[in-house]
Amino acid sequence: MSRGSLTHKMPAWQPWALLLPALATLAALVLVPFVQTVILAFSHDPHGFVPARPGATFENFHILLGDPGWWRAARTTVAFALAAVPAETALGVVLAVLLRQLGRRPRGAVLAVMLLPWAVPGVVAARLWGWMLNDQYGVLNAVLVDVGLIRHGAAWMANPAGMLFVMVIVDIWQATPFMTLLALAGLQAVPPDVVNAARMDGASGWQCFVHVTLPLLRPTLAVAALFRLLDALRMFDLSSVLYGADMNGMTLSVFVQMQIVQFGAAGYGAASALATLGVIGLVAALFWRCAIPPRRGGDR
Amino acid sequence: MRPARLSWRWLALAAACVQTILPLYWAVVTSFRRGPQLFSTALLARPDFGNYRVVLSEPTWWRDAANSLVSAAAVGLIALFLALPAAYALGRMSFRGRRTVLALLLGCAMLPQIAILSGLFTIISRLGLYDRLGGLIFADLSFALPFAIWLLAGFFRDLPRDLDEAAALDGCGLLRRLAMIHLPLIWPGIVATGLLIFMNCWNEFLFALAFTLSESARTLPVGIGLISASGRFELPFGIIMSASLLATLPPVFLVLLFQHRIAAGLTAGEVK
Repeated sequence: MSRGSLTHKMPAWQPWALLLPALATLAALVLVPFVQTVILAFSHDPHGFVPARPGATFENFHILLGDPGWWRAARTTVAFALAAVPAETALGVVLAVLLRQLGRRPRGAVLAVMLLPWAVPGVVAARLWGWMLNDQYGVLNAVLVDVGLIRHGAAWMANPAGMLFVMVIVDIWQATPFMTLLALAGLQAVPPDVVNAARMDGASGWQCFVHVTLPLLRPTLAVAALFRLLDALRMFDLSSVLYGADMNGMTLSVFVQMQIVQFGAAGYGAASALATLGVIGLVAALFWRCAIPPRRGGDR
Repeated sequence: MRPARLSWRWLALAAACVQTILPLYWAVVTSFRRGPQLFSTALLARPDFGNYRVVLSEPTWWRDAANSLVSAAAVGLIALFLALPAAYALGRMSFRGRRTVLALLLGCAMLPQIAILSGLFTIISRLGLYDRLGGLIFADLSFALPFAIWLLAGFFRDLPRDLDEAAALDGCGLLRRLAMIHLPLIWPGIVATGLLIFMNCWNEFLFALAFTLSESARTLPVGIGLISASGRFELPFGIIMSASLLATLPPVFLVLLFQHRIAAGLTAGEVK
């Protein structure tokens, strides 16, 4: 009823007047460019900075289907996201559980330190790890040789699997703080009474965690992991800085950016961007199906 | 038994902290080294700011830094200015189409940058903003604005409802209500949003790389990313590391100073 009195006084145009400046700007910034991308994707593209001729053709998509470079980038991107995100989620939960047991003050201090990699620019992170993993002068090889784990320095980024592995490692370094933060927020929202009740019934700490805390945490984690997944699937910085134009470590974002900016193929680039959106949507939808089991009939 | 378990936990946390710090520490060590010293793997180095002096004596570095600062600050301010009224409407008012607008905003925020790259390229060239800082600000707003509205709407919604009613009963108009009652209350949320946008734009690479060509509009990440262009094997790692660390200082300071605000912003944006 109190809400009714509020809406009653409000003319219907008022919220839209407040929204208008932002929505108009967004239309110019996102909607128009996106429509342009769609139009470009279906036009004839002569490549090489020659303006595309408008038309309704599937030519670009046809070439894309037979482009091994695009398929390779798609595989790399999906493999990267599916390796990095689950690892970050698991690590985030573990760290959040550990952090939760600290007092307020020390927790804040540790969190601040843990957040640092997240604040580092992606370009800098790529540079840093590229230097540490340098096959000749990298500190990691030197330490591993000194310890006796390996005889000669390993060329970490000499083959496609190694290149993928390095990107996953750097991403875990950068993004785990984010998952830790969200898992911590989720943990703090779990009512302690529920856990205490389970403890009273004789459940062990581990059983409590697996059967009580984790299921309650699941929706929060699923949303956080979905956001992270969408982010990982559009990753650009690491691949671009570490491997440049090397096909072996190229992600979809780098592929599209190269087509548009380096090769001047706006139409082909637009088509590959739309196909990339398709890949991202597909992976995200499949992930969501797995993360959130279908609701049972009585739930809602 | 209890102290033993506690120490095991401390050990795990310490390991996590060391793992986050170690790469940054190694960057600091490398940045102090020059010439053949660079290939030493000793874990300590005598502080030598020679590399920093080289970097800071380059006028191009200062221009890159100024470009980064101006573009990130401008995007933050413009986004907040446009987002506040919209977020107020979405967070405090109930109207038809509200959920649709929110869903569209989330879609905009999650849209990969490459999906609008060709279109933005055409528009920015046509506006004559290519290779200008204005073009980059324009492009960065495309992800900063939906993010700002989404985050601020959440902060507005968390304010108690009674506030509006009491103020409306006192005959307080919409704009006065926004300026006098709500803005002071969601001030922390505004700071968090502004900081997150600033950091995102400071670190942004794709648009900065695509829409700048010459030094005049280049930002720090692009400058650092391009150092490799000269040669693959003779990379000046000492210089690269000192330039990288200098570019990392502002966001790192912001995180250390405003850790609570930033953490609150991040959790608010994603969990709701």
